[in-house]
Amino acid sequence: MTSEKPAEPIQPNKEGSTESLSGERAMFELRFPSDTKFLHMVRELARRLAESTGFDAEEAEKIAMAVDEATTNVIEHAYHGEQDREIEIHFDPDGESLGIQILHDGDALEEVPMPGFDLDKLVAERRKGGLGIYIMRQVMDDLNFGKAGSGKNMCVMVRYKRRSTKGE
Amino acid sequence: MESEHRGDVVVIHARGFINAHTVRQFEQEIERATESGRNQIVINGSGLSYIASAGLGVIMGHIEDVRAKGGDIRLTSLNETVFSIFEVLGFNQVCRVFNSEAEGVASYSDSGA
Repeated sequence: MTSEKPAEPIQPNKEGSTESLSGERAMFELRFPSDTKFLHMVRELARRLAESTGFDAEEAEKIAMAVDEATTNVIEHAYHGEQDREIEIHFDPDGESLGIQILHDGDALEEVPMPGFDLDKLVAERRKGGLGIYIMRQVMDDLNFGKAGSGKNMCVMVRYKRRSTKGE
Repeated sequence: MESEHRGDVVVIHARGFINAHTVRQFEQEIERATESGRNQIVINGSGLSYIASAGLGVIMGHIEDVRAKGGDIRLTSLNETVFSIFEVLGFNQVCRVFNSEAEGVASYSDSGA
């Protein structure tokens, strides 16, 4: 998950349509120290925010799960467990989707390609990690890693609303 | 988080949420069981509201060793949220899940480990 290679900027756009995701103020912004004791609060907040912006309880739970995993990744892999660094989360809801950015000043993270995610293999190898990114990819519609206009590294996730979220 | 013995089986009562902040406590409970030579483990999740990948990782990290010693890690009484996390990951293929603690405990004597 940690990469030596600097992450590619995400959809550079001089018109600023992407910049609004990374540079301008998001509708909701949260700043907190990189301490795992705040993970529960962040997950609860993400869940309630998703519910308040029109996702049903089941969807909101999944979005919250992805936010929890993404934030955990930042603490563990970008900040290597340092507790006093800053994490910023932007939530940008619109009528059809919820965009979420997790910004940090730590090491750039990127999605490790996992062709044919093999849980049995991970178990056989007694691997404890690698699940978080898989959860994020499973529950979010878009998942990208890159650099924000501010120079911070970021993880960008989007979840679109389903017409019906049951039996999806 | 606490454990109790049901014959040879250790039942761990997982409570609240397991995330990167609380996971060490969960892992210690599993290690306490295995270090005392008890490898037939049931995790009763009736009081568990959420488990993040960190918690599932602990199960993944121990289950093969426990199985090699003739035991297993089996889960019971999961709420809808936790079960849906299992489904997202296909984790129910890795771990046997039972509706009740009694079924989970009995499964060790029904079929062996």
